[in-house]
Amino acid sequence: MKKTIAKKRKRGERLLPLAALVGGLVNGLLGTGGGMVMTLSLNAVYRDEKQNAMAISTICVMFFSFLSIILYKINGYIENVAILPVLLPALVGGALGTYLLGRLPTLGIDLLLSALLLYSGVRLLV
Amino acid sequence: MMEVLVAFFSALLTGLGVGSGGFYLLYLTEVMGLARHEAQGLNLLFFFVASASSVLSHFRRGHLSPSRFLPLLGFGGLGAVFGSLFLNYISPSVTRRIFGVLLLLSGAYTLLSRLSRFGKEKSRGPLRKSLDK
Repeated sequence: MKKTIAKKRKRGERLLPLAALVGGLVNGLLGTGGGMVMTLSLNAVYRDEKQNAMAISTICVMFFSFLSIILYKINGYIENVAILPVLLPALVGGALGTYLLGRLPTLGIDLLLSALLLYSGVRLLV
Repeated sequence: MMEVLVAFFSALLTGLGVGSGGFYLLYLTEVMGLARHEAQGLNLLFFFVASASSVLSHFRRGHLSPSRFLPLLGFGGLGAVFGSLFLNYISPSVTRRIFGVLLLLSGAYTLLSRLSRFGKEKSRGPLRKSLDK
């Protein structure tokens, strides 16, 4: 049983670079969404290490975002953007969220989030 | 004030590992009325800042092993470069639709996976759960 799980994980790990390629592509193209691809893929491979999977996903998407920011800037998509007013809330919110990771019952959050995602998705398509 | 609150809660969700980038982007395009590509740029900047504190915290807790994430940075970085360059050839309405499909898929997946996990936990019963603890 343990051998089968280890085999499955190795096979999954071999596919992760492909998932990263897709995640980076989506992130660069849409300015978001890379985290979804990475989190789903990493959670599937590291089933019993959710926090590690989350950490890898976050650092990957942070790097993808960094590269995309440079190219967006070169292409003139980042000009007079006002990041300063939201800089502090972004830093504090990110730190607090990481602190709460694994400490909060996530059922309610997940249900609310999925409802919002479905609603927003329909709104954008219709 | 509204902008600060939205930014705070979006960043909070980012730290929790819940896909929040989409919400901030939606806020920027639908509420603030920013042009699609400009909003995407701001969203990338926002995510970069919000995830920085999260990454530091993960490093301190020992969740990050370089051998696992470094190869992914290379492949994903390549994808990010292609995606950002490809953006010049796609109209904002197309990226809006792709984004809509992505949100729908993400919402459906979150809902279904959470409900199935909840069902499994419930079927295990209180005795089994207490033994697991």
